[in-house]
Amino acid sequence: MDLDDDACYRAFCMRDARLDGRIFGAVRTTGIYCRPVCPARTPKRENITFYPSAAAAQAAGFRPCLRCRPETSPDLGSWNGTSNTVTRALALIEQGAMDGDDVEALADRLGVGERQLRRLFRQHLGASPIAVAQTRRVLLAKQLIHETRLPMAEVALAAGFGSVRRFNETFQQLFGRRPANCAARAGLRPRPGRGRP
Amino acid sequence: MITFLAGRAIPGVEVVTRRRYARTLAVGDTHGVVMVEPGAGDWLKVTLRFPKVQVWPAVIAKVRRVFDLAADPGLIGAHLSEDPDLAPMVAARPGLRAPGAWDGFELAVRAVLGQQITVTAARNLAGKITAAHGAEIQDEAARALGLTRLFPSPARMALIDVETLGMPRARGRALVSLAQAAVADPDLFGARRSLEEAVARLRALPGIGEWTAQYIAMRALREPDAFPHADIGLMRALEDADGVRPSPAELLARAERWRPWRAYAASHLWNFDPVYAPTPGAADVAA
Repeated sequence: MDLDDDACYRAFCMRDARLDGRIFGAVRTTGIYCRPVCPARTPKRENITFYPSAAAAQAAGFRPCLRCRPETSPDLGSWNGTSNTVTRALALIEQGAMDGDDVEALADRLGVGERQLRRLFRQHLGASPIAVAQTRRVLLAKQLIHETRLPMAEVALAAGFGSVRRFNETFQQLFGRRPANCAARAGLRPRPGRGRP
Repeated sequence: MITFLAGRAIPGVEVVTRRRYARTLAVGDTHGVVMVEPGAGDWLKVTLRFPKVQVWPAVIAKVRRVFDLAADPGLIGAHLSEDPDLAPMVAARPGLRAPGAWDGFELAVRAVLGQQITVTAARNLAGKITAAHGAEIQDEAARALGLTRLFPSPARMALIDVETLGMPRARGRALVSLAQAAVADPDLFGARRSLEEAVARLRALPGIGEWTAQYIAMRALREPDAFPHADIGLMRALEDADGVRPSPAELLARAERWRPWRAYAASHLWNFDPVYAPTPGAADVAA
């Protein structure tokens, strides 16, 4: 990220859509991270920390905001618009290259060492390749829960989780509630007899 | 975007109307249909009909690539507008994105088919090959939309008899060897370390010259700086008042200032007038 924290804070105060998807603001007092365009009141400067990716905010223990919905922000790949190892890696992760959580295989395909790839990810995204892939799955699951009527067990499969149990654990950890509760909150009706984890 | 896709829609595989793009798609062994429509706001509405939900992430990734959803047209347009020739084109289409590809092999086949013939002729030829060699879709709802076949797989095309293709034999052979290469290396159209490496690798295939390789890199590999500089449409779009066109070398030199987004400059030039659709330079043709 090539912006200092003051510039980031101004972007949040202005709800600057141009930086949507490039910076995420995590709020210490609520444990939630937001997009610059979040309609909620902008938190105090001293309570907000900025991250260059949703994965970095997640890795620091924050949960996605239910109002501005970080899973719907513009794609990670647009973080600087030019092509390089990180954008190519992000494209491959989106295509499923990290479904087996194998960073070495990903690095091989890009012709760089595993340690270099990890370093580039830390530098530009503030998170590891595994955290980026994991966040992508979780945010896709969240989007499917909000926007489709897919039963919870199928959301887990569709988002790339190997098992419903693993999906539930991750979900509980990241969102602080069980997936079924989240669906109920979004006003969706799981079909009878299905979709309860 | 929709005009570009409509002009290239292969009968049986794709059905494009003004408000909707629909096509058949294979993800591994799973066959299905994807439909994309404009949403009520700043988003696309996507409808998927696949027997397995596990393929959803892969299909969603393809939709993002084809419709170029990760691009930031504002940032790119601002840079390209520094060239006075491009500025009016950017102003006319400020949100222009560069269409991607659903599948690397399919796009490469289309690019080879398009050598030396019009977009419509290439599309009809692709439709004929699909009707003869594409797997049939059983889903009745899809068939009702006119979606009846998958684009032929590399495994199937690798076995085609060149004589039955109805095109110059050298080009037919190029298609078949392309299919064989795709069977031998399923990652043939995957990302590489750099644009140069990707282009060099593609050029090693028979029937693929610089134009075709850059075109594949641009659309299938989504390299934002790929640039088929020998393209006749690009040179025509930059004709001066006396009707003098830049040479390929002059165009390449000129494109330096469009980096790192030369692919978007090409999109703007091709869109300037439909006459300037992508057209390979003579050096690129497998004849």
